[in-house]
Amino acid sequence: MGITSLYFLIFLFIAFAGYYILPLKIRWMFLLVVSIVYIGLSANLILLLYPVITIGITWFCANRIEIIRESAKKDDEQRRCKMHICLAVIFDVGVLFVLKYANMGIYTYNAVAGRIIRGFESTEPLRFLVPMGLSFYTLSIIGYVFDVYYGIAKAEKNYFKLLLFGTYFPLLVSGPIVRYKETGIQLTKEHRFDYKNLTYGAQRILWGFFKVLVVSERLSVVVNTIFDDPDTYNGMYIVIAAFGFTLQLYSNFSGSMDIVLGISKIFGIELPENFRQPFFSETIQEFWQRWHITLGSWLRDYIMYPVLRTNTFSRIKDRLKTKYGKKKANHMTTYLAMLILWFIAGLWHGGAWKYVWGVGLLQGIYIIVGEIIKNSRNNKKDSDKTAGRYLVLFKRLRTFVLISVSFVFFRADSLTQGFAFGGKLFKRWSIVTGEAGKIGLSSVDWMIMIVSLLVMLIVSILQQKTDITERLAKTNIVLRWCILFAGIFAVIILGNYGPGYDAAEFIYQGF
Amino acid sequence: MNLMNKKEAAKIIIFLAIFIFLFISVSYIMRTNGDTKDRFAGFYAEERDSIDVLMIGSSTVATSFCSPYMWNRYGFTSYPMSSNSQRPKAIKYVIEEGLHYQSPQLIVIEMRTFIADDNELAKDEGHIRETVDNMKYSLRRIRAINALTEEFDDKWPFYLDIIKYHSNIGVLAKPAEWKKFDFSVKDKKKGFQIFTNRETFRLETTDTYSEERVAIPDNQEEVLRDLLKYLKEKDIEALFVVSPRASLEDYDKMMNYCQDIVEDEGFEFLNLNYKYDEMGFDYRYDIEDGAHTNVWGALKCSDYLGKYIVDNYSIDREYSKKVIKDWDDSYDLFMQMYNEIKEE
Repeated sequence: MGITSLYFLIFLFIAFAGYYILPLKIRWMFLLVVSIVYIGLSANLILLLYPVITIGITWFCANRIEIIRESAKKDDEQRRCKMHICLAVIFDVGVLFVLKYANMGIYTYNAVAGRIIRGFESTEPLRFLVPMGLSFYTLSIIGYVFDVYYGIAKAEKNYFKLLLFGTYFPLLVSGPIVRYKETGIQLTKEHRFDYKNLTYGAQRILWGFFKVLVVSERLSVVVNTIFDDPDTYNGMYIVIAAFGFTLQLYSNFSGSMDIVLGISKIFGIELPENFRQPFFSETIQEFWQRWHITLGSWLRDYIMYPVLRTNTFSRIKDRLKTKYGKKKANHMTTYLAMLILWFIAGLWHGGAWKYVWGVGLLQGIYIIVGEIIKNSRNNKKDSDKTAGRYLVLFKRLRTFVLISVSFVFFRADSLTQGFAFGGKLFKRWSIVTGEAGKIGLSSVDWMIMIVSLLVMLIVSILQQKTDITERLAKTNIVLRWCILFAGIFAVIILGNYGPGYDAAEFIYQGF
Repeated sequence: MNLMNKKEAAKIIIFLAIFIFLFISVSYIMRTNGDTKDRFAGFYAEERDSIDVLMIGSSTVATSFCSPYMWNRYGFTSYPMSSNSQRPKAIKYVIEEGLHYQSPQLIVIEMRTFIADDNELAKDEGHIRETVDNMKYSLRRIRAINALTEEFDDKWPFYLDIIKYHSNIGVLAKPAEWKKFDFSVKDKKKGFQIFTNRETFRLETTDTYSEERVAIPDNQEEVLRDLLKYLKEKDIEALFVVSPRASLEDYDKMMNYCQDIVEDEGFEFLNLNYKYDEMGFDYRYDIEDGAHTNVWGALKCSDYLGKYIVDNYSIDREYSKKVIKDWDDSYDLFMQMYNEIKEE
């Protein structure tokens, strides 16, 4: 059941009505039931066993850690706590690895062994049914057990409350990755009906629908047409496909986030923002602080900082300090930790080397090179305001281009295809004529897509300056409703959905 | 349970009411434009209880029987609620729809599609949509959809047809389609569809009369019997007709079979294929494409049917001046078009 489907809207309406009809105290239980029903309707209900068991072990370990901390015996407290966090993490990560990365290992082994050994017989990939939102809930519950370990969060005594944290249905679609001390606690709080939450949430959902159905689905036609027909499209079309996919990914992923955050708002739950106008970033580093924010902050807090605090890293830093000095040693160890972070970031996106490179190591390299350049020159501030504006624009465009290049690997079928696709950029910069020249869309569709992208741009500019929802709420009701009805019917009329279209799937849904 | 205040509740209700109104209006506008849409929209726009005879069936109803002409010659109003390849199974629901807006004294049912296997017709979404997607949103329409879409798992694109038609952006550029947002635009030809070709289809007159009987598909016989039962239960006066067409193998034998069933239940059956001599119908010049009559053939069919109705049924109604003027205008328009066609 896709969240842009009519069935989902009906499901959501029933969930909303049921939630506010029931007594305050049991509303969170209803949310858990709704989430289980959602899993049952969207996938095989048996897959619920994965989060049930994984969260069960995490719940047990987190509570054990807290009990050990609170007990009188302090002699081997650290060791026992470590043992329990290791158990939880190994189990959680183990499930993730087996389900998502076992085949990556098999494919890599087949590829390498096939080149070395003559007559090598390939190993068959394993076939698993992967539970919904596996990558998202796994990271969320690992974060939870770490927070308990570090004393940032209290261990949840009620298993079902933690189960809701892991299976809360909007989060299963495509995140965001949430923290227990922020979101988990909210889920089980007693939320009273709030008209403002309902209207703001519904508006956010509408905006998400617009991004996904009107913009992303049209862009996907252009991108797929070019990627699927490499013989026809070269040169300029590669640029269109690369830029198009970046915009498609943004409208799709941020659109799904708008829907997810809007749904939660209706239930009185505030989820963390995952996007903050990423295309206004002047550097790649800034881009990743505005794009998939919750993944970036999770990796920073639970991978990079702990890695930097390890004994191994301390020893490396000490050695480098003696050779290159304190400042450089600090930089070098940070860069190394960054590469580890980005390797894991790439791996998180999927069990394929194209992700490890495209949304992983390449991003790390971009950032490290950017840092080195920044550190090696004097930062002169432009006194001329106009020159400053152009410079900002140039930097934003540069970031967009670099990101688009890396996202080609995300879209490509494999790492090899990603490089091959890049190579086509330098072939035949001629214009394709005839029907193929329209790249899968009619003239009207092109017009709709361009206007819709402009609307998104204007909204993004306004979002930089003000809270649009608040501003809209303060406008005259007639104007406000006209805008809302225009939005609703733009989605209904211009959206790509229904018979003849593939169901709108979220690119991050499979993660 | 904590409730919202009255002002908030009022806002939600008003917002939803406006949304529903706009949604339905936009849905009607976005439906594929064409003769069938015009015909059905025109039906809904007719004054309530002003139609004497409802004619139901496939496309041939609209091409064979000219309502303005029958009005002028025989003094009764009639309207075709026909759509291309209308499934016999749909007839009952179209009658229900017609009876909701009009109180006809006679229902004319064209029999042609009863010879086709319903399983085949059911697979074609277009045959279903031609009927239900030209009806107004109502519970009757939902019942019709439930009955006609047994082959389709997902019925929502039928219930809410904008799911299907929202990409018909082209109709938004047609002001005439916007006017159909509330189905209040009359069809000046009163649903009649004019075919003008009398040159390309040449069929030598052949007497297709047969005494033999060939059974129609079982599923259609079941539909026919169910329809007859419905008409009897509701005490609806009905006349079953077969409009002229180029002969198909076993066509008239199947119609003979239908005639027996219909007449056994006490309804009249009129096979115009057997009346060509009386009608002066010339298969060489009065047929458009083998399956439909052209305007010359239509006038002969209308003449015959009109006379048959006034001779055999008691059609009496007082019409308002507005209705009389409206129908007179329609006849004038038809004659103007007809004369232009003749001149050409």
